[in-house]
Amino acid sequence: MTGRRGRGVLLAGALLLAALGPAGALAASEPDKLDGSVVTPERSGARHLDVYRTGGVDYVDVNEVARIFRGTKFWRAEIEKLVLRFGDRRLKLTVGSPYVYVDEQGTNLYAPVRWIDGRIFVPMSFVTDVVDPIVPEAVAWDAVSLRLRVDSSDPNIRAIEVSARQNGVVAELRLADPLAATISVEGTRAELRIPGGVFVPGTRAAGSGGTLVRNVTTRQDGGEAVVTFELAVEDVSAETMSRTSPPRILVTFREPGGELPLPGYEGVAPSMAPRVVVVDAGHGGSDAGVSAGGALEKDVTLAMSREIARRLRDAGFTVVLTRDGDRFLSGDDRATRANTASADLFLSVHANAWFDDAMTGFSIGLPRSAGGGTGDGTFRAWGERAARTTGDEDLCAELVAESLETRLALPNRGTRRAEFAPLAGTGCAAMLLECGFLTNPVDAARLTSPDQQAAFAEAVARAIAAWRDQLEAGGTP
Amino acid sequence: MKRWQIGAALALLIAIGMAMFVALNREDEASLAVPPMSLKGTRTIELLFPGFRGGVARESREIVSEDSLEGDVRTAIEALIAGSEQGARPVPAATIVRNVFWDGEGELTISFSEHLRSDHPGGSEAEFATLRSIVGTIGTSFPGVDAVRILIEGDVVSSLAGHADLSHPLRTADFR
Repeated sequence: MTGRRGRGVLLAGALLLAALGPAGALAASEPDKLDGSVVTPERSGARHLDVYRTGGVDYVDVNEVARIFRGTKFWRAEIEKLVLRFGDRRLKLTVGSPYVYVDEQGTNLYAPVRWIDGRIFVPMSFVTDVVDPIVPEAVAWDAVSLRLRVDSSDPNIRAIEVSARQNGVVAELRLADPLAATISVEGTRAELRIPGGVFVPGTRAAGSGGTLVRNVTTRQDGGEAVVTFELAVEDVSAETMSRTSPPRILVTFREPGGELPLPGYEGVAPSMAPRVVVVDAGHGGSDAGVSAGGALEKDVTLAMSREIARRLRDAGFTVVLTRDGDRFLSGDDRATRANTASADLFLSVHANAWFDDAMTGFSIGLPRSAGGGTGDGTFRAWGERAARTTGDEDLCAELVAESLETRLALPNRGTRRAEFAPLAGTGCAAMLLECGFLTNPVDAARLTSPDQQAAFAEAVARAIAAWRDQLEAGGTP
Repeated sequence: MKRWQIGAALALLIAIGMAMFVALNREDEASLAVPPMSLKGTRTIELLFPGFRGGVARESREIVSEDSLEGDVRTAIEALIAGSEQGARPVPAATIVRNVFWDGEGELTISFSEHLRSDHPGGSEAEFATLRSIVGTIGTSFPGVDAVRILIEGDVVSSLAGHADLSHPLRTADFR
């Protein structure tokens, strides 16, 4: 009798548990909508933040989290999974699950990700325990005042350049402000930690680590920037030192048995002056580009590119043409040319078009992210030339525009940053130059005249040489 | 019937009742995933056309709503194809809107016929003007849309005329 009664109670209990399960328990209670706020000390005033409280857990809209910390989000509705990216870190969430994956490492939030009012909400522990350690900002949540405090840090690590020397390797980090760093070596892995360091989005390692440094990766670890060097051998000695004028951190790697200081290194940074320009004649082959008044864009861009290349060589640059004939190149082909040539500048030459013949003048396009990269903050494969800063690109564009305006009195239609396909994938400063409108008769005559092509090319080459001179003199913004 | 049997039956009934309650609640919660959107009736949309010397000219149009975001977006794009009152045609006249898909989470996908690419005059200025018209019109008239993915004949393309990167969705905020 007792046994049968016990079985009955167990059965009822099991049914109750199945019905109430963790999701059921949450679904049964309606969350309270509360008025929270986001406070950023650097900015005046607080901003409203919807906070939902249920079962003692505070939830916040994941869109807000992405916006506050400048993350990107990808949603797959059919499997209710969300991917958030902060720099090169990838966070995977699933609606209904308390587990979140940072890269491939699982973490339990102890409360599930939820749908509330048609939006995805995450427990505040996701912000304080998962997001906080991987973003440069410091985060604090006050559950009483419902205030999310975000202490911002401005990016201050602009570029990383690595160069192989006779008996070692030097890595230089260009900074906005002086910073100190520590380095530790364990086996074939060296880790440089920079407290207060924040990478400029899109910053990538540049140069060559020779046979000693195989790869360089970076990550943001809370308030510290971390650069990891993969070494070819063990027992490598590493030293770091900070310089204030200009602000930079220098790291030296010495081969086992080698001697420091490295020849020619003593406090001298590797030259950051542009030396290599890849000139890209837009379109080509089956892709004629604009066709107007009997002229084809692919022919105009090739003639103009050859003229610019010749003048840049005269000015002392190493110049590579992506194509020197009428043939089709994909965007990847062009970017590969630039990256394998270790280009300092990728100049894509184009002719413009409009829906009628009214539009005239030149314009300049710059990539949305520095270096023409993907903008996702990831580092490129070793051996590729890294990004210069957006400041370098802005300066180059400004000088080219000024030169064309003052030397040739051409109308300037302006400079803008956008997702320009011809600049995608290039790991250096990149610029798309629209030389004029083939759909405008005056511009078309200028673009197809050899004399005027030469004059245009001269103005562009002089501006690029002036850009090099300014960077060499330390005029980088 | 024994007392324990009555007790077990009672507990079973309670459990079934609670399970039904939870299931109903889950239904409610799932339905929140798709925000209610009733568009039926006449509504005003704003079309963005290329203006004088590269500017933007905005024109309002009254449309009869199809009671779906996809239907109204299709109507808006077809109005762009028809051109502005000043005769601006940022989208080639032969272009056909093949399909519009709304993922319910901010991203809208539009598949165009090949004409959008093959009949386009080219040049980055005209290419960005076309995209500004399409994406800007959607961003202005349909505020819930955060990003627009443009396909040609159902395929992802790298670009329309070789300048604008179309390999990923375009953010409406960049084109308003």
